[in-house]
Amino acid sequence: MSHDSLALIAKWEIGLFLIGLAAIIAYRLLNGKINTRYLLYGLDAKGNHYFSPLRIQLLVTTIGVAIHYLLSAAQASPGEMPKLPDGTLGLLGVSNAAYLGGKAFAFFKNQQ
Amino acid sequence: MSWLALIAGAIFEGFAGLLAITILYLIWTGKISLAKLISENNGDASLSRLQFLIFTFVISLTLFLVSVGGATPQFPSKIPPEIFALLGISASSYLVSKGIQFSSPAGIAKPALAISPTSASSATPGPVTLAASLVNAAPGSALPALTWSLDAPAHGTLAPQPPGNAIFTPAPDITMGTVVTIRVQTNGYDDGTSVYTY
Repeated sequence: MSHDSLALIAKWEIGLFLIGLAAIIAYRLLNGKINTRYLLYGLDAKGNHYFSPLRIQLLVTTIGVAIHYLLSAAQASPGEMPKLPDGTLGLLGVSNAAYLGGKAFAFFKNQQ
Repeated sequence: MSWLALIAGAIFEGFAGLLAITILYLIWTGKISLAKLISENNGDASLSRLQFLIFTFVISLTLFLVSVGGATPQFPSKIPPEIFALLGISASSYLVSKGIQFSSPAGIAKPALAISPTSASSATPGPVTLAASLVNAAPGSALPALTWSLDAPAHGTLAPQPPGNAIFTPAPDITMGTVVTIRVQTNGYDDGTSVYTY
């Protein structure tokens, strides 16, 4: 047993755990075992659900940024975290702000 | 001293590996439930939680990939500030979202129905009037159409009196000690129940 062997085992342990956990969560999300009810629906102050396009745009932006960053990581130099492309944070900020703005509007417009 | 470090490392890796396998096994068998991983208190799924979950996995997988990408594993010397900003945007979006949600009862807990009286006992069987009301709903919410029922075995009859009342008449031959559960239901609300003991 050497340090190299320990490093190799650690690499596989962490990799398999992360990938296994991600795979289980993705599988459970897709087959409905993890609750996704009303994921794309907003809730107003009276407790009524409404379809929310702002949630779709946030979901698409999130998945887009996540995939892009993972692809960058696959091509990154070892020991160096990839940087986010210019404007990505701004895009994500605007997307989140739009989602929160829409949610706040729907929540407060019917409140007395 | 080197062999001591190797033994300690091997023991730690063995423990961490067993822990990882146990956690994955318990999640897979449902003993660790992830059913409400991205759910809010009111039972609806939360997009903010899903976003935070996605970014957490992306950052951790990226950190893993760049750490083990070289010939020798090496933790990144610098974490770009954009990563902190990315997680910060996601986390603050979640917090603001919770703030908005907590400003209304409908966003805190799932709306439910309640029956008054909730429970009672009676030595003299006779008709009982029950009243349904909304719990965790926004003030001023109208009572939706209700479905009244008796949990089996019925031990009597139930006559709905819309919009929110019902009269329960116990069976003439009801015996003392019998427990009757009256239930009211409607879409989007947890059931309300009332328990009568004779």
